[in-house]
Amino acid sequence: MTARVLVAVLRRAGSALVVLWGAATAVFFTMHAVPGDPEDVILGQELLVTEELRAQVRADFGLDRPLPAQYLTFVGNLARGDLGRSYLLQQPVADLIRDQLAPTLQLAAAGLLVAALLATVLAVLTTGRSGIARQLAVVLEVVAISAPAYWVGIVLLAFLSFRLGWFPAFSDGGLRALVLPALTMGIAIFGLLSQVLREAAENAERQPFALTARTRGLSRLAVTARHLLKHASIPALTVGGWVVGGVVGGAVLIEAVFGRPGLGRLTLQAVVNQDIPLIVGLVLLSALVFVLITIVLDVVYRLVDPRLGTRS
Amino acid sequence: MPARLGAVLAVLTMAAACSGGDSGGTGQSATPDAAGEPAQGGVLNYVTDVEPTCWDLQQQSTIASQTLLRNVLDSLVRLTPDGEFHGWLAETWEVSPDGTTYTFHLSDGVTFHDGTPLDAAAVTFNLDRWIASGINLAPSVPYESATATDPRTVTVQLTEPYAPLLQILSMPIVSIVSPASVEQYTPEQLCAGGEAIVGSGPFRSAAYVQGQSWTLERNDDYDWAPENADHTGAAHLDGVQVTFIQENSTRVGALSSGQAHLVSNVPPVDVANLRGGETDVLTAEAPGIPYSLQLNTATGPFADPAVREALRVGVDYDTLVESLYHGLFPRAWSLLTPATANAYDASLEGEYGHDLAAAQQLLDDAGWVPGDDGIRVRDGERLEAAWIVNQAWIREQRDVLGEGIQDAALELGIDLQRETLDPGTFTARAQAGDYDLTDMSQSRAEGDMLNLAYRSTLTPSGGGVNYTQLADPDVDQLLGDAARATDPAQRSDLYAQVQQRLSDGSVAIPVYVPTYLLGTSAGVHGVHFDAPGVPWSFFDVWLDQAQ
Amino acid sequence: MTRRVLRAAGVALPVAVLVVLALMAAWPGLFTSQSPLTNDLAAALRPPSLDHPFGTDNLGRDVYARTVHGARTSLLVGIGATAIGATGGVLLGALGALGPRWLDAALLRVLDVLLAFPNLLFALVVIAFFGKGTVNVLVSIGIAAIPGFARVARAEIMVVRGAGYVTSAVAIGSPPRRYILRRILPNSLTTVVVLAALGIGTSIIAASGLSFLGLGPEPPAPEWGLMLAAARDLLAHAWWTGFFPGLVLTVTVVSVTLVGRRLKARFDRRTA
Repeated sequence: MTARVLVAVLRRAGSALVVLWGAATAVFFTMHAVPGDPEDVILGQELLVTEELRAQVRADFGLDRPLPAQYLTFVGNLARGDLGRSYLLQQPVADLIRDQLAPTLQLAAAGLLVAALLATVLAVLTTGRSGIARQLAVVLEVVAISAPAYWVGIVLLAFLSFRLGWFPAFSDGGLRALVLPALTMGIAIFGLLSQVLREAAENAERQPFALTARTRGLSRLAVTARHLLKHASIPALTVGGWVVGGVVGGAVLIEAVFGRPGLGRLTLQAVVNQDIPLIVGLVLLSALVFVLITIVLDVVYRLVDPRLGTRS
Repeated sequence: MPARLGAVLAVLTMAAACSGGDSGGTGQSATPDAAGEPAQGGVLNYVTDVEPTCWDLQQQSTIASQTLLRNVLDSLVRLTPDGEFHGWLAETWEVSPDGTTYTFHLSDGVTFHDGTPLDAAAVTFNLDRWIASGINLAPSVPYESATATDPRTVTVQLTEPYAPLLQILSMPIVSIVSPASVEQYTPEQLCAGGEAIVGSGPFRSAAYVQGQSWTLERNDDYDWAPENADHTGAAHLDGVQVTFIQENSTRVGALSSGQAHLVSNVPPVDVANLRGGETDVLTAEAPGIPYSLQLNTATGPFADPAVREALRVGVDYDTLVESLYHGLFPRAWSLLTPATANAYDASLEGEYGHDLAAAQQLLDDAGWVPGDDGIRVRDGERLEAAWIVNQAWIREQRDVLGEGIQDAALELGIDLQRETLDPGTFTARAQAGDYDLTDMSQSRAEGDMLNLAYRSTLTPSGGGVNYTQLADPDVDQLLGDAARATDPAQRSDLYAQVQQRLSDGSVAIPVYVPTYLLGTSAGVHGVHFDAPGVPWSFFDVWLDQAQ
Repeated sequence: MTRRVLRAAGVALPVAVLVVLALMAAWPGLFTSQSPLTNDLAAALRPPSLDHPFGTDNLGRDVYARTVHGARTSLLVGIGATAIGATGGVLLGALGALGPRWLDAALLRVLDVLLAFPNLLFALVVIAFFGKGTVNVLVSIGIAAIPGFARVARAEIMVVRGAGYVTSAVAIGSPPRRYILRRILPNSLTTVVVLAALGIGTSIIAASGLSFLGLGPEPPAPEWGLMLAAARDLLAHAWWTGFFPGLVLTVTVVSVTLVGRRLKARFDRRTA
């Protein structure tokens, strides 16, 4: 069985490479078709820009060569792990991304933790029930899914930080500064998570083993908590995978609201300034994260539920 | 403490109010402190809005990097907001009678943070590197060479007289970095900042965390402060912790919650709340070109001076500026601000007033008559104007101000269509001349700023910022004469003539004087502004107790 | 009894909200006589009152009027983007499900690539290419939604194609185009429509997020995301400038989502 898993992973990894190459190529050509000259990004606020200077900058970034030649260089460098140099920040894209990874991962981890906590509690409390509590839970979930995360962030910031002073206004690296951003991200994610969890738990509850557990005298809550969540965790993991993929996107807004450093802010800066190498690098990163998650999920599925391995 | 801050404030405001800058009171005035001796030690928490994108000024230069690097890098001379030059790395200097040779005599015993000596060779290295960079106004300087005549003397030879040179040399853009550091680090490393920035300033650059913070440590060896500083020797502070926070409300929150000692660019709406009590707001008006609408005089509706004049008198800029900026930003009347020492022409103040009827009359006479939707029409053509806005230049609620001007212009029957563009697209449109108006302010403590903004050859396609596309031989002549003139009074008079000519032609509409609003907490003393209207280095700053 | 009332309200309320919003979008004049654009500097930053139920912003504009007029952009972008996503998705999905095998394989690969991007990032890249503005936001969110719809549509069409009535239609010699149009598409589209109903809410949030970041419509257009962005600096002084547009935005998306879910539940029950 492990051999089969290994083969599956290798196949996955192969197609992942194709996905990454496709994404890089698409973004490279799309971005280079954008009107406007990259040297304007590079020269920023200069009041006096001579033609010679423009030409020099173009040559410096290899922009004076034909696009196919630039593409070949780009792919060649990519294969060696070199993502090129940011126009705006004039530093290796890989370094920039590496430096901004930590704060975003921190935010994502904390946000996911909050979401998982909220979702589990809500799902355990409402699985298999009907009535007001459940209706309330559903409304709560829908509101959480629907409220724009940045608005939630602004409201939390305005009241809990500016007005009541419970949390610092900006990140000083401490844990307290992480609470509001994590809460904002958690709220945005938990609604979907808790729904999926409950639905799956309810499906599982109809299975025979749940009944057996009940007949053994376990309370409904205990059954839900112990057995069902375990089974429900597979679909929840799927959603979780999607959510992690979306964290980079969500981080753009949340980091902007809370003035946090991170990949989201870097992405926004790159897009606003049409910093092509940086955009390409960030797109590749998110594609990489996505394929890694699919591979991991694939393995987890096969390990948790061996039936999957034999099916396809 | 508030009493003293109030005094500094009053002095600053006064300095801004007196145009010539010839009075003794300036933003730099070192008034003896009522609290007595400055306390030593402590780390200043400074929260600023814009983070530099590159820390090597000879690769990429922005107001943000220039302002912050003033703490780490020294220049040959120091220019104070009153227009006076003071010795710094150059103790003294002479200008040859024909204005083409500048001789600088360097201070003795100056060393960089890496221990290497700051001698004449280091200075010529930096001057050559600056000219070779092609940025930082280098192309406008008739530079021939810089020679180290002896270890402490540098001679700069120009091909023709160029009076603005000293002002340029006073700016951080021509600060002196350690030549050894330029050899040691790659361009990328220099851009990435941190320990790669090696100067001779009162603080040394330590850790830089991109997107987050920059740490400065006191340079204990420092003994070459500019001659007009409050004190000599090393800085009072142990160090400075700079944090980058873009969001205005968060920055203000950091000040009022005590997380920060100083915060940059406080929004005007917050100033009243911050004044009095534990916090205050210091102000400094920017020199150079005020925030103004630059009208394309070459093509489109604004090629007609009458339409330009109508937009100038037909919109109530006074009320807009007063209301949006809560009376903190003065209305601008000339294309130089009052803080541009030795160049501002105060006679233009209040030269015209808001007069809707007169503006409508002007448009009627020019053949633009109101159409069905209220927008004026002439020969079937609507009175529309494309207003391109550089996204990177939006600050100080300029977008809101723009909306206000738009609405007021509608009342006149002019449809201003604002388009906010990324810098690349903006430049492309500007170079193609594909716009009817744009807006800008340019901070520089030198009348020569007018040269970059209104000389006929320096249109966007010519590499400059003459967005008005003005091509007036008389203006060109006056600007050239002013750059070559060696007598300050004569230069001042020539720039006044340029300002009057620009005003007569309504080629641009001055709106407000950008004013730096620096939030400060009560325990912070000795904050000074630099000539460009931004905080100077924190050399003289001290904290009540070592906080 | 109370449960039934609650349940009825759970449907009626969001539907009522959506009807009101649609009316706002179509005839904003029904709800407010004030202009969303006209400045009144003398009345800047007034708190909510009878004259200005949502207060005024820093140019003295009526926040209520701006919120009402903002409904049109948000709804149009939400519906328009979803329409692009669903149409594009169904076309691609049909191509994959009904076309030759190699095309399906290639398409799946492409979809894999596209699905690898979080929607907002995808939209950001499209905007970096097309530039900013309302239409571009609409298109970018629409394009970003295509891969998701395409996957669902492809799967649905494959299921329907395998269903008994289709195989029998093919067996009795129905021409392919006819059975695609008559049988397969209508039957598989139901899922897509239900999904689209839910997608409108997501699109509205995404669009307001993009204009919050300054990539959407140009001020002074009354648009919720733009209003929220402008309100950010005024939080401590005029909470109403941001609170109300955000609230209306949230209520809108909640209503769309609730209605979409009800549709989905009904559909699921029918097919089950």
